[in-house]
Amino acid sequence: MFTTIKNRVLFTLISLSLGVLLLMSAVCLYGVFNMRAWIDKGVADLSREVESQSTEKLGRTIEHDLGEVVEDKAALISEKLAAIERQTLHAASAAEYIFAHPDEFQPRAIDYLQPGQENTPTPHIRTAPGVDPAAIQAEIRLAANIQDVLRGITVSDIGLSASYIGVESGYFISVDKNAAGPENKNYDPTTRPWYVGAREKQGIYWADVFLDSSGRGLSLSCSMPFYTEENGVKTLRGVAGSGAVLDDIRAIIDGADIGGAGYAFLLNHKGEIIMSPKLAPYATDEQGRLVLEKYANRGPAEQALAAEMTSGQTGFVSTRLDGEDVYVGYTPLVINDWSVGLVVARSDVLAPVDEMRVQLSSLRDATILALNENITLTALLLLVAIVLAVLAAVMLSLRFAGRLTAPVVSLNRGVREVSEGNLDAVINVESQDEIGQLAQAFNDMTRRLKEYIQNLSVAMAEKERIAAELNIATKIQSSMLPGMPPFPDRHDFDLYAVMRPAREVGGDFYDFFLVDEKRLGVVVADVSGKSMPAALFMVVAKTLLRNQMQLEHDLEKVFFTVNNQLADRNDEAMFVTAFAGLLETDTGVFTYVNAGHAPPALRRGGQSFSWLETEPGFVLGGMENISYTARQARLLPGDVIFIYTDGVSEANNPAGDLFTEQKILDDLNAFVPTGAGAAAWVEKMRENVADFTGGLEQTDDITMLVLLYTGGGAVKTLTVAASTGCLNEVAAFLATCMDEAGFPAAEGANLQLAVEEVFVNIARYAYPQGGGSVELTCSCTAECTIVRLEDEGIPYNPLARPDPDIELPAEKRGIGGLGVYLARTLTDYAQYNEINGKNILTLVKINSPAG
Amino acid sequence: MTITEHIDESGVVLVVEGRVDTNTSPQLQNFILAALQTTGHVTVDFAKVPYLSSAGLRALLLGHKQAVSKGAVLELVNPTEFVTSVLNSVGFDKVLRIRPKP
Repeated sequence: MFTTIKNRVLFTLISLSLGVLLLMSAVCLYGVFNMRAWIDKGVADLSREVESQSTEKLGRTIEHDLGEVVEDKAALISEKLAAIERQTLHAASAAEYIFAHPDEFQPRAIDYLQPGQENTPTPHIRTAPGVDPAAIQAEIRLAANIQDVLRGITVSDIGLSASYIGVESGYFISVDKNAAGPENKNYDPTTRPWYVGAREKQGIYWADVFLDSSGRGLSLSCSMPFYTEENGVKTLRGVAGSGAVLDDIRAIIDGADIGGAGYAFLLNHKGEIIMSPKLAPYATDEQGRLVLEKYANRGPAEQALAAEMTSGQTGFVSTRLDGEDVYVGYTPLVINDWSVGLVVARSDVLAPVDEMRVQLSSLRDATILALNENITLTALLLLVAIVLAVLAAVMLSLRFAGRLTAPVVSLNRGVREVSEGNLDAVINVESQDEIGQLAQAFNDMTRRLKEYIQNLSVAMAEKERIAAELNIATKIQSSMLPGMPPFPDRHDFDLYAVMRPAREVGGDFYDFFLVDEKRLGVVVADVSGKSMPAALFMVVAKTLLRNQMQLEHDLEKVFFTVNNQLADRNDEAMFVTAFAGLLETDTGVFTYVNAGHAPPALRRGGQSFSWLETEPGFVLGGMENISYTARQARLLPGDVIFIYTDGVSEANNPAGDLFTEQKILDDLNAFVPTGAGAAAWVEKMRENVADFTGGLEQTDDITMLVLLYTGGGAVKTLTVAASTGCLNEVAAFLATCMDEAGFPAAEGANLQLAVEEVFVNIARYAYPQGGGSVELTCSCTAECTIVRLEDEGIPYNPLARPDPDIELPAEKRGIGGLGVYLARTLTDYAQYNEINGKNILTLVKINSPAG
Repeated sequence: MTITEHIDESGVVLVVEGRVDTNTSPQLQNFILAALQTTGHVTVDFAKVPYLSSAGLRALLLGHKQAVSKGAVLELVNPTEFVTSVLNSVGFDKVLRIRPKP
């Protein structure tokens, strides 16, 4: 995406503008959201504040209003009661006057109700039981003068139901508004509560409310005693009284409210509910008597209130009645011990506050809604702004980036053209800035490159010609060395060699050739210096050595002659170190001579490798008339000779260490060949050298030659079934081989035993299905016998078996397991190889007359 | 290989003649075990045994173990040089009762 400068500029500009816009949007939205939160909180605070203040204020107002109303109502009721009291006093004073001045009045009869006057106030008289009206005829007739006063009182418009007097002598005169009764002789007024109360109080007495006997409902009575005074002695003559139905007072109580809410109630001096529009006013018991409810019994709040009210207090409380928060105002009546209370529910009082709160809340909701709409609109506008800004940024960037990068694009095109091989391409950039300078520099570079390439082409052609020639020289040199594998038909020795020149051609060489049928010549040499001069000298040395060794079998003479020939006219003072040997293939006698060469390594008789003892002579070609001394060694079958040049021992690793001769010996000893043949040894050593140098460029020619002597005896082969039944056949075959070679029978018995053990092992275990065969190869000389057993059975290396413990006493020994151990201990050399699916076990027994 | 058996004052004497190898040693084993059934002392004469393989060693070891378990004696007498070297090389000279050639 950002592979072009143009795109990068584009991206940067868009990112920048987008970033600024997004930042601004964020700030903007943050402000609006903040404002919304602030308004939300502000309105809530305001609502709370208004509510609190209004509640307080309304509380104060209601206290005042309640007080006013309750006092107003108390005054109204008191007024009513005062009127009754006044009329009662009027009746009492009239009665007192009549009894004090009997001579001023005519005796009168009670004017009983006439027909058609049923609904007019009617006087009547009742007498107590046991009183004979005739006996007190004169007094009754005097008292009857009160009836006009009583009628006047009863018809007055103050709502009285009756007006009456009770006289101490035991009669009762009454004018009732609408209840006329017949003459009654069973009514003793002096025992009535209104009479007793007034008599005892000796003044105005308000009796408890009662149910009117005429069924006119709840009533009250007010009474006043009257006396006569004679000689300073006051004598009670009777009690005047008035009865009133409480309808007027009820109207006052029922009409008491605050703005249409609340209710009033009236308590008597005992705290009993006389009336209330809300509370149950009264009930009757079985006898039809009035039962009033005690206000205090309604609950603890009412109890407290009742206590206040019955003690004549005026007050205001905020409390909780019937599960509702209320305000209560109360005050006593002036006339009697009653008290008026007015209750208003707090919720009614605070209704305006709630209403205001609702209004405030809806106002807030409306505000928030409006704000939200604004936020949405703002966000939309910002989005539009962002889109427009991006479009503008893209368009501007495209134009700007295009202008900015045009020279770069032009430069890029030119460079690409040059890189594709067109050195004639010229970049046209007019600008004088860095890009213009770069284009100019590139044009100069292209021109110089073109010149350089032309020069180089000439040099390359020359070099290629030399390389081609060297390549041919390499091939010639490599073809001069004997090819591999050599002597495939010979079984008595195996030989393998490599020469790797450090340059195209080298000064090292190896050579081998059959001097005659029973003699093998081997040469390894190293010419001083490297490359072409060394190669030329090598050709001469190699040819001379081979020719001389073919002609003259005495190596000392060969080296003497060749040295003189090489030294002759050797103006360049070149020389060659050489090791040469002649192997008599039937006897293993190895004659060798060394001209300043590193001694080879030899493994003899299955022992470790050690340096072959040589008589080091002077290098070949260095000086004339040098004599050389040959040495001899007797090789045994299985012996290995490793001949090399100093390119091996002096190979370098990246740290600058040398491979060293010691490592040659160590590596050779550590190697256990799995495949037969000399090639395995050479390949292993070459691999070790390559590992050591770690890919470092080779500094010297490397030559290695391995000669493996496998014995010169006659080779006989026997193939028999893998069965112990063939054991005698095997024994006879071995005996014949060794007899013919003159191998001593005493040594042969050991080998016989070893072969039997191995053969029996194969016969028993190699072929579980049966039917296999074993091939025996025997190569025998007077010095040594080699037997090789090959089978195609289960791959198994018997030599890997651990040794049995031969120190154990008889009872701890297992039966068997000794065979392979015997085979190994009674021979000089045993080796197992698995080659091409064959188990190959080689056993070697050496004739050692001394031991 | 042939085995001749006779009795002398010590017990049973087995005179072995020929190669004791994988094929012949079962026969030697049978003779030794049979002789141990009848006597408490078995002498095995190897004067004419030029060759002994591990199978023969096994027969001798089995015989020796059998003799020890019965409280009997198995004695190998007159082993040849080769047989001695084989016996020595596997430590049987320390296990078996061997009486060399006088």
